[in-house]
Amino acid sequence: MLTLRKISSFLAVLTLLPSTFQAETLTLSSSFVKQVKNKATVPIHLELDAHLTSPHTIGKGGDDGDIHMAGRADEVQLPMVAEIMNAGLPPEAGSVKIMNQTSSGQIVPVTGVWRIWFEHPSSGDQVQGDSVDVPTNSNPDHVFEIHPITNFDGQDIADSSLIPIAKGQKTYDAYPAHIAFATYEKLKATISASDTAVSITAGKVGYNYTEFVIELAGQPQFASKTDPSDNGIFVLANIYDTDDPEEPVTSDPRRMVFVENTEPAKQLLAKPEGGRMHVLGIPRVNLAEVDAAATSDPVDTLLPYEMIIVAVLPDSDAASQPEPNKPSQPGRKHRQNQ
Amino acid sequence: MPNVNGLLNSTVLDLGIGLIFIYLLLAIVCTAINEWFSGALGLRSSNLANAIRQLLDNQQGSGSAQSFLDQFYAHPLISGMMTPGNKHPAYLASRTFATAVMDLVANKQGTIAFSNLEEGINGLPPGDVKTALLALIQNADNSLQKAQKNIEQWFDDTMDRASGWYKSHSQKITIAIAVLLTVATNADTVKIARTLWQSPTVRATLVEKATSETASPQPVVEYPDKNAPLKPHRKVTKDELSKLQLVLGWSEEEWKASDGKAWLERVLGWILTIAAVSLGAPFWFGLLSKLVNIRDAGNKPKTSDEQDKSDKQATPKAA
Repeated sequence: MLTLRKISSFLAVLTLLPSTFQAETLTLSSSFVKQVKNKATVPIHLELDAHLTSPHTIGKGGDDGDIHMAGRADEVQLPMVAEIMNAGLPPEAGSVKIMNQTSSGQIVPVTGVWRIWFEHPSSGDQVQGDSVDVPTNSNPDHVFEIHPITNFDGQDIADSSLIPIAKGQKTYDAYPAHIAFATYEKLKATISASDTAVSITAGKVGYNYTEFVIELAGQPQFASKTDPSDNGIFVLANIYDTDDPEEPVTSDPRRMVFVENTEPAKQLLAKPEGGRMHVLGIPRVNLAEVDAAATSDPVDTLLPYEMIIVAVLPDSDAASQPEPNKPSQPGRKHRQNQ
Repeated sequence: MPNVNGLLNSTVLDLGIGLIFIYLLLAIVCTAINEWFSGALGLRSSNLANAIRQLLDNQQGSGSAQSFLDQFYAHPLISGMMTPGNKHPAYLASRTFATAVMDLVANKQGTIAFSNLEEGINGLPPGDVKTALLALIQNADNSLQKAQKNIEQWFDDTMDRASGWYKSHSQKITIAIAVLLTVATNADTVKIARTLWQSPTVRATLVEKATSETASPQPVVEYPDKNAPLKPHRKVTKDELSKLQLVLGWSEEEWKASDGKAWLERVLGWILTIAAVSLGAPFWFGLLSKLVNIRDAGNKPKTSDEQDKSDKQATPKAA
C-alpha cells in the first residue's frame, strides 16, 4: 500500500514537473504598457464567450468565491478572463444574473483592475495583437486578467466587492505572507524591448490571494495625477507576515495598488506614513518596473511585481506598530471574519 | 592584409560606447541624488503648496475672517492628507481639490446641487477665486458634474505649469549635482576618451558591460524617492560603479604634474561631461542602445530563430 502511494506520488511529481518549469513569453505593445503601467483599472468591451453560472465555493486556494468569465476585448487583444470577487454576495449577484442572461458573443462593458500574472500560461508564446481563439471554457490559458471587476455592465460593484472574502459563516483562508512572498521574491524573468514591443518571459506561478501586513513607506500617489481617467492609488510599502511585526518578508518596499472609493483606499488615505494595515492582496506584474528595466538587450532579472489590495482584514499582531522585544507568535493561522 | 578602416571604425565605435556608458552611469547617479534631494527637501510638496497658493490666494473666505486658502487647508479632505508635523502632501488629486473647493463654496451639509454652488460663489467676497469660479461655471450648462470637471481642469492646468516650474528647478539642481559629481570624480571627458583610445582592455571591459546582460538575476530598478511610486528608475549596480573607477577619480600624479595647460584641458573635459550628464539618463540610454545594435549588427549575424523573434517583437498589432 505504501509502495503504491510512493509510486502515485512519483507519477504525480512527474506529471507536474513540466508545468512547474513551463515558461512563456508574453509580448505586449509598448503603447499598451505605457498606457496602463501606472493605472489601476482599465475599461474594456468584453465579448463574453464562456462563463461559470455560479461562483466558486469559499475555502482556500482556488475556492475563492470568485466567478470566472472568459472572452475577448479589442482593448486587450490577448487571451483573457475577468473575475468578480465575492460573487456570491447580494450586490454582486445582480452582476452574475446579468452575466448568466448574456448570450455567448454579446459585448458587455466591463471595468476592473488589469492583471498580468503567469498563473495559467499557455504552451506557446502570446503576442498582443495576434488573433485570439474563441475560448471554449471559463478559464482558458491566459496571463491577462481583469481581476477584480469594479464595474460590470454599468453596475459599480467596487465598494461592495473589494471586502474580505466570505459568505455567511464561510471565510477564506488566504496564503500566509511568509510562504507567498518567498515565492514572489524568487520569480525570475527575462525582459526585453524593441521600439514597439516589450517582452516578458517567466515561469508558471500561483499564490493568488495572500494575507499580509503593509507599512506605508511613502505617501500615496493618485494615478489621476498623470491620467485623469484612472482611479488608482499607488503607494510603496514594507511587507510583513501577520505573525511577525519585526521582520519584513521582502528586501525592499513593494508597490501597492488601491482603487479609489473602496474600503481599502479609504483606510489607506486615513493612515499616516509609517501606518500599518492588515490586508488581502493579489499579485500582478509591475509594468512600470518592467518598462524601466527593459532594454534592447534581454535582461535577466527578478520578475517585478506589485500587489493589488482587494480587502482590509481585521487587525493582526503585525498590523500594530512593533514593540521592542515583543515575542512573535509563530504558526498562528488567521482567518478573515466578515 | 588587415582591414585598417574596419579596425579603426570598431575602435571609434567602442570608444563611443564606452564614453556613453560612462555618461549614462553618471546621469543615473545624478538622477538618484537629485531624487534624494527632492525628497529630503520636500521640493515636490513646496511646489504643490506654491501652486495651490497661486490658485486660492487673494480671496477672503465666506462668513469667516479666515482667508479662503486657510479654509481650504482646514477642510477635512485636505487636512487629512497632511503628514505628522503638518507637512504638506506632495500630490493632490484634481478630484479631491475640486470636491474640497466646491464643498467650501457651497457651504451646505449633505449633497449639493448646481444652484448651491452658484449661490455660494456669488456669496463670496470679491476676490480672485470668486472671479475664477464664476468664469468656470459659465460653461457648465447648470451641471454640477461639468462645473466639477471645469474646476478639476483649472487645477490640472495650474499643475501642468507647476510641473514646468518643478522641471526647471530640478534641471538647475541636476546641473549643480553634475558639476559637483564631475569635479569630485574628475570625470574629465578628454581624459576618459584618451584612456579608452589608448587602453584596449579598459575599452573592452566597458563595452562588454554596456552590451552584456547581468549574470545573475536581480532587480534592475528601484524607487529613489519613496513618495514617487509611479517613477521607478533603473539603478546603478556595484559592478557598474566599479567600472566607473577604471576611468574616473583623482591620482596624486594628476595633482602634481598639472600645469596650466593640463588644467585648461581638464576644465574643458569637465564642461563636456557636465553638459553630457545634464542631458539625462534616458537620452544616453537610447543612444547607447542604438550604438550597441550597430556594433552587434556589424559583428555577428542573427540566427534565423533570433531574427524571427526580433521580427515578432517589432511588429505586434497596436493594442
